Amino acid sequence: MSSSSTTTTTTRLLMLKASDGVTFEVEEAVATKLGAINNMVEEEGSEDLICLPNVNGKFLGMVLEWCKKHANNNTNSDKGNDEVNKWWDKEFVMDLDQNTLYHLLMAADYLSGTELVDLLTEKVASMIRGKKVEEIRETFKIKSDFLPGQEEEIRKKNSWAFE
Amino acid sequence: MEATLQTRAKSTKSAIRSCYQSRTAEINGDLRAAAETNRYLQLPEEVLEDILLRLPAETLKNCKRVCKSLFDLINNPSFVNKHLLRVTTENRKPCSSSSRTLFLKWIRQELSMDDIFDGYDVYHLHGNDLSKLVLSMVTICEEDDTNGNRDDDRLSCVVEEVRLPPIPESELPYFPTYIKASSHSNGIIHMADPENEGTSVLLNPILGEFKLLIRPEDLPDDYYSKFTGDDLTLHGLAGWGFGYDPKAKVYKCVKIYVDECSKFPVALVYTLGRYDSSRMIKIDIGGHRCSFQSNGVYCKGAYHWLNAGGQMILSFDMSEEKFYRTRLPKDLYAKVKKLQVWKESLIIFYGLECSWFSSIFEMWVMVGNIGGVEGSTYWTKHLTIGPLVCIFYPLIFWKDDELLLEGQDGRIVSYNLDTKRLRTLPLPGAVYPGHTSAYLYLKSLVSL
Repeated sequence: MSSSSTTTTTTRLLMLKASDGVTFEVEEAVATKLGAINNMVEEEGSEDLICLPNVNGKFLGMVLEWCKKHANNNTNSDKGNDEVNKWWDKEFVMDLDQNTLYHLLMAADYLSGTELVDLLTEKVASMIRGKKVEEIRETFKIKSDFLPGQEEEIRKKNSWAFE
Repeated sequence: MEATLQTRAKSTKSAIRSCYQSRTAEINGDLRAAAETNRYLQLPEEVLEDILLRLPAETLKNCKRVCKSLFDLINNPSFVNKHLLRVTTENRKPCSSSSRTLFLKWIRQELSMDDIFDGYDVYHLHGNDLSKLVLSMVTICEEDDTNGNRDDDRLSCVVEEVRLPPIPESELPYFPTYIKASSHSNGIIHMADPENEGTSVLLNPILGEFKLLIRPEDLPDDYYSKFTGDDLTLHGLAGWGFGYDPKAKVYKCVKIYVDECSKFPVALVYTLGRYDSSRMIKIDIGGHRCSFQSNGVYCKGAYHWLNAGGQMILSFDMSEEKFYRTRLPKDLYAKVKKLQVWKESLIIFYGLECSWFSSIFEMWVMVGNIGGVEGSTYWTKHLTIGPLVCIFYPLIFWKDDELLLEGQDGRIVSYNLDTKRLRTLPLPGAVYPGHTSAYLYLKSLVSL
């Protein structure tokens, strides 16, 4: 039983259907890098078509692209792989704008792609690091909901040390 | 006529259409903008928290001003603790690529070389002058320097001066005029004044928060004699300490008071919280004279002081609120020494020689637990540092193999135990040797 399942996992193809009807055919070994899909495969087993009503095709495609790279690199047990993965991760997040980043992050979180979530949260953090209040608001389109004067009060109270 | 009417009608129509189109575009734009507004705040809480935990305290201080929900999230004690844990782990990594931050309290030297050679007394000259006190935050940015840095004799770092907080007029009379002891715990700097009954200043310079710990109001003037039950008068303060109680998860400040013969010390322990509380504890020092080096160290949940005679270490367990004594090796009694921490163990530096031309120090490490069975702790000599030229005394280890030293010439240098390389810390000015305190600083969100 167990030996037959291992032989199938290497070749088995899964169909993933995004919210907008776009479908992706992926190897099980690639798709199971996502915790949510891994669970579904383990629980339901026989089902080959998996519907993902919370993820748009565009972003599902990107998530799967990431999975594919990592799955491919991990099959060769070479030590240089970590470096390759790191380099590839860097490329992957380099030019993401905050809109794409948001949707990817939501998709990765929904699909329990822990490693990918880590990569994306670090990217978001790098976009905040060292920024001033207004810059953070602008980058992430956040509206201040402080009452007039409230923010100034916080600023004034705690600004003696360096400013 | 008709034509003009028609064209007018047409133009009106197209005007309406274009107006309608632009309005629709505007509405769509608005909707899109509205959908994008505050979207990041709606990320699952653990994802949002994961992002914020990756940020340094300085940036989080700015994030707090972005909007209310971020303010609440970052101010939440559970978040503060998670962030602290993250920063602590990061700082403990032996070969972490991230930068280290030091907090330095020093006195600016403004003496001529003649004064220095002739011998001087800093306390007489500047002891009471807060304007000579400098607080510096030094961030050492070391790249991987296995190949050896080009600029061999200087540490690459960013030095920022930390100003003292503006003191509300009502608290001005209590503010220290002179700062003698200091300590650091999780981003909070504690500084104390031997006058004013030992008022303490607590600072979190990153958050820009400060607080004065004044003698509790409900303490009567004759509290010392009442408490000790003897006809003794309070003479002064013998020691201060500040640290974290890992069990109760609170910060505590302890002050040791003594009588004229320094034989009957008592401790006043403050527990910081929404409402600060305090209590007094008697200390049994086994007939020794209670006279400590004012700066102690915090290690493994306890605060430790070396007594001036150098025979013992007095330790205060922050959680148990108990005092312990640990004896030192007899043959090392009389030597000049300093208590420090290395790899989470207590260490002592013994100065075998301390002169302009040659300084040699032995480093001894304590093995065993404070408060353990009598005789279960012992000291072992770890290594000898030197002879070094122009070195005054060791300050702290800022890495397992990098020791900060005060120079006789007013420089602060870092000494590598393996390569024996000395590198200067570029401070804005010269320090008075013997009056510098240095801490491996943690940039935390711990609020006062």
